[in-house]
Amino acid sequence: MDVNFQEVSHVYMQKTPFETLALKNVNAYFRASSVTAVIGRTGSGKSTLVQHINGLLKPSAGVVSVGEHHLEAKTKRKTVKAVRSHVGMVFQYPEHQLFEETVEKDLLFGPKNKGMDVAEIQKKLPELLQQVGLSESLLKRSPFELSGGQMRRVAIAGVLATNPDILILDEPTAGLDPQGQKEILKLFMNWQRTYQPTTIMITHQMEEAAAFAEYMYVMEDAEIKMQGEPETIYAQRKKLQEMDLDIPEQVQVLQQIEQDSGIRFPHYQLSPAEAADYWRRAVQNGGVPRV
Amino acid sequence: MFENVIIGQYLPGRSYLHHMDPRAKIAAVVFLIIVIFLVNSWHGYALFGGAAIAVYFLSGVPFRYIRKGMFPVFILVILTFFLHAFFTRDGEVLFSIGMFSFYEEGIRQGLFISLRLLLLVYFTSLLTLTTSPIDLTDALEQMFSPLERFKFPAYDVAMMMSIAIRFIPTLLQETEKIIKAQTARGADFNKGSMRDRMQAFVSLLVPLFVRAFRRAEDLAYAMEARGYNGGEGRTKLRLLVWGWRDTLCCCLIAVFGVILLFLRQ
Ligand SMILES: Nc1ncnc2c1ncn2[C@@H]1O[C@H](COP(=O)(O)OP(=O)(O)O)[C@@H](O)[C@H]1O
Ligand SMILES: [Mg+2]
Repeated sequence: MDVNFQEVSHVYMQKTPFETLALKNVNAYFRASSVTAVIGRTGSGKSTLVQHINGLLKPSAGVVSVGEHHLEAKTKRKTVKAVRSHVGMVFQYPEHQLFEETVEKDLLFGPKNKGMDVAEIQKKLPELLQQVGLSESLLKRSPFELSGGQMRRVAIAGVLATNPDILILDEPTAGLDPQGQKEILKLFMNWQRTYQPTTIMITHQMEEAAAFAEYMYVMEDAEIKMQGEPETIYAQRKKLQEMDLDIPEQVQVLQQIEQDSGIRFPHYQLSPAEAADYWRRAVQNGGVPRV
Repeated sequence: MFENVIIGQYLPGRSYLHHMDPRAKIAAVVFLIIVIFLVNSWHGYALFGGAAIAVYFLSGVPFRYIRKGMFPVFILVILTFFLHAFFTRDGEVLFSIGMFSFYEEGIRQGLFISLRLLLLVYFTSLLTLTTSPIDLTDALEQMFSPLERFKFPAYDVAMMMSIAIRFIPTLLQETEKIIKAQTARGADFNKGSMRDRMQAFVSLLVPLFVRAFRRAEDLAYAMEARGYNGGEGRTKLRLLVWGWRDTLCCCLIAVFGVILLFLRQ
């Protein structure tokens, strides 16, 4: 399923002294089965943007199209519910949404609400737990007696349980240590590769975005200020720095090598070993770049 | 979701009322509430109405906020008016509709009670609209501190109140966040069978309580870590200052009270 924003604006607390314009004439397109990152500093409107995709927020002006559905200011709740059953959303600190007596019940909460075949999904729960890096022995445990990291994985599994066509990740690694962040990202990458949902990831860290996005939107002050493939974005370092962002360190290193040696790398997502290997081969060819 | 809730309904501003000492404001409101029950003549209510209008101009609060704050009370006021109008049977019959007769005294009583209620709510809303919650608790604490001699824990009560007030916005935000998260998981808080809605409600309450207890614990540790051990001998960062406005206000109110006493029938 693809998602399209056309001239979307959103105003919080309209007609009060606390009125905030959180989205200003936003146009954006998320291709079906693609992975897109939305980057920008805190308060730039990233969460507001994605909460329009499952109708948690309605546009003050403009249209959000999800598949063949259209969400507007006056859209009926029936349409909103239809859209919602296709969208999975992992919020910041998703572990705060756990509430059931057992992990199993909590995992089934989403599928049950969305009218899916619960018995069928129940059979697949052990596999699902394994996909998020947990043992199936946790199924009968209370979610509240798990460690913080385990709770987060259970909460994520609770969203993935409905196998959504559109997967929205709103800073899913917030508050984790670097190792934990990597593991969670990897989990999502594997999931994306297997089931191919349209994936939209919000982050304020370039490193995270770089790890798996094919397209990027950069937000600032309620607007989309930059968009393009990661390479295009990295080429505008100055502009990024003005928004308190920077290109990933790994990319900085590769760019520096390119500048000093004249070697061109095919893309910047190379792992350190791949980059070293590529560089060695290029040098053996007399510094001539060859892919 | 809570976009129309204006928390604690305090409206910051720089009017005469905003600049007054909260103790003076509380004392004035309490005094007005007492005297309003002594008024029993039309002159008295006219005078009170005049005072209400004067205070409105001193407050600088836009009228729509007052109207919004008083709207729920209107229903109560209309109800009490009709109760009195129907059931008081004194004086002459003014007019009859079907089997109901309306007596002069009934209408009079109904109007008086309604006016009392309205004025009472009006003055208290102006108090909360022009006084920040922190100032209110500080003032209450000081006004109740003489009672500490009788083992009334004025300090602790004030501390509890200010902590509660401090966490209202946090709790509202948290509620909104959890509602969103569960809605995204397909819970429906507005429509559906009783069972589904109960389930949705549980999915909100459990996380909310878990987080609230966790936060209370964290706060207790944080306060202890910074040396908090009860109120004994604690000094204040923000001192309440009694100024000329407050003295003036108290004098005016006293004069007002005396005039009202003379207008009693
Ligand atoms: N529920 C809300 N009510 C009022 N204002 C809000 C609400 N949520 C966000 N905002 C405001 O909207 C702007 C964008 O917020 P948000 O979309 O959460 O940004 P981000 O996710 O990029 O940090 C901010 O200025 C924020 O204060
Ligand atoms: Mg956000």
